Amino acid sequence: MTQCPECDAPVERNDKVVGEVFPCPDCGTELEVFGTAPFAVQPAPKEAEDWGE
Amino acid sequence: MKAAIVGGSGYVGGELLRLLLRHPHVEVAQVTSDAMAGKAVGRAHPNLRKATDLTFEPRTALRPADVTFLATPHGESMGAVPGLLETGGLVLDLSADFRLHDPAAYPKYYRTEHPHPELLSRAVYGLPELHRAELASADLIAVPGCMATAAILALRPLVTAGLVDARPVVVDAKTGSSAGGQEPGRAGTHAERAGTMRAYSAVGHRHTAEIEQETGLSIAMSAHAVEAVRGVLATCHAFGARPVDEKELWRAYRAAYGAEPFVRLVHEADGIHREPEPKILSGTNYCDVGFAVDPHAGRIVALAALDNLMKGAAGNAVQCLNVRAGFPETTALDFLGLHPL
Repeated sequence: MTQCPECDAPVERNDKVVGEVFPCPDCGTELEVFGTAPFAVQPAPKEAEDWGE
Repeated sequence: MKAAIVGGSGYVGGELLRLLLRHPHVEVAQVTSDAMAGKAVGRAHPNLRKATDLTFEPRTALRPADVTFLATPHGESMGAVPGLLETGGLVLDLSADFRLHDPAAYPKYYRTEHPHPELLSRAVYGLPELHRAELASADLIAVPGCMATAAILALRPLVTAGLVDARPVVVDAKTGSSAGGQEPGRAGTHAERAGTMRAYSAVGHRHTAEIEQETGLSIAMSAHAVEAVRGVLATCHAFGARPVDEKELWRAYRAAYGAEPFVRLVHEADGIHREPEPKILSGTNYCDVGFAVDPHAGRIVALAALDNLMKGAAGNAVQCLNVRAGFPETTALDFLGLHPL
């Protein structure tokens, strides 16, 4: 288990693999697995939005 | 358990009926309405057609019950409650008549002296998230106001965690038209209501007293009518005792509500519904609570959304009954809402 880097929510590995993207159960941030031993996640890269502002 | 509903033809009374008619441990034995006496329940609440054979009875025909719900206008419960308590049943009052502990608050906020101030300390403020233990032995439960419920649930974790200072907290509340009840008036006509975004109480709203009582904060409240039938959104602006980050807020709100069945934390990074929104809560007993940090202004924004007739009134009353009677707390309250709506 690790924690979401955005909100500190506990995040379970279960059967996730490196590169898998999943949402944080609390804040919804898309997280990407970058290690399994130990289990480690980081915010997944986002597609930038351009609303023409 | 036999239940009676006084004032059952109003919107809150209709929601009480809808919930209690499907409650496995409650039998609605009587529902009163002087205006609709003799008429079938379905005449006032068409969604309940064929759900019950009950007809409205006049208030004077009220019989003792195990639990009596008072869904009457402010001021009417003050005189009725002492007699109901003498029958030995549980009383849940959905008006403001027993919410405030301080008798002096009634002339200030409700323009009336309280005729039974000795009962104010006996009433338990009916918010399970704050008073679950007291509710378990209460005989008089004062069900909170809708906007007060939202503001209190939004702000209490900040108080408990010591994250706000002594400056007044601004509560900016928006509410739908059903919060005003069924009584006709110019403000409720279609011509006046359609398209409205009206500050109907820029200062001095009555729920200020409840929010201050239950949070210990100094509250500066403004209330707005918006074009919705159901729903309350309270946006609360507090100023921090010290700089905080969102992780600290997550911890504070998780500590307060992590085990609560009807409070959901909503502060998501992406998507359309990132913060609490009342629309998706219509008909449910949920209060969605969210927050954000404004480092530029040293401000914490705390938000809460609910259905004013449910977690803001009837749903919360049934939740209180479940706590008081020892029923599973979510009994009859498991509707998840509709989307889209």
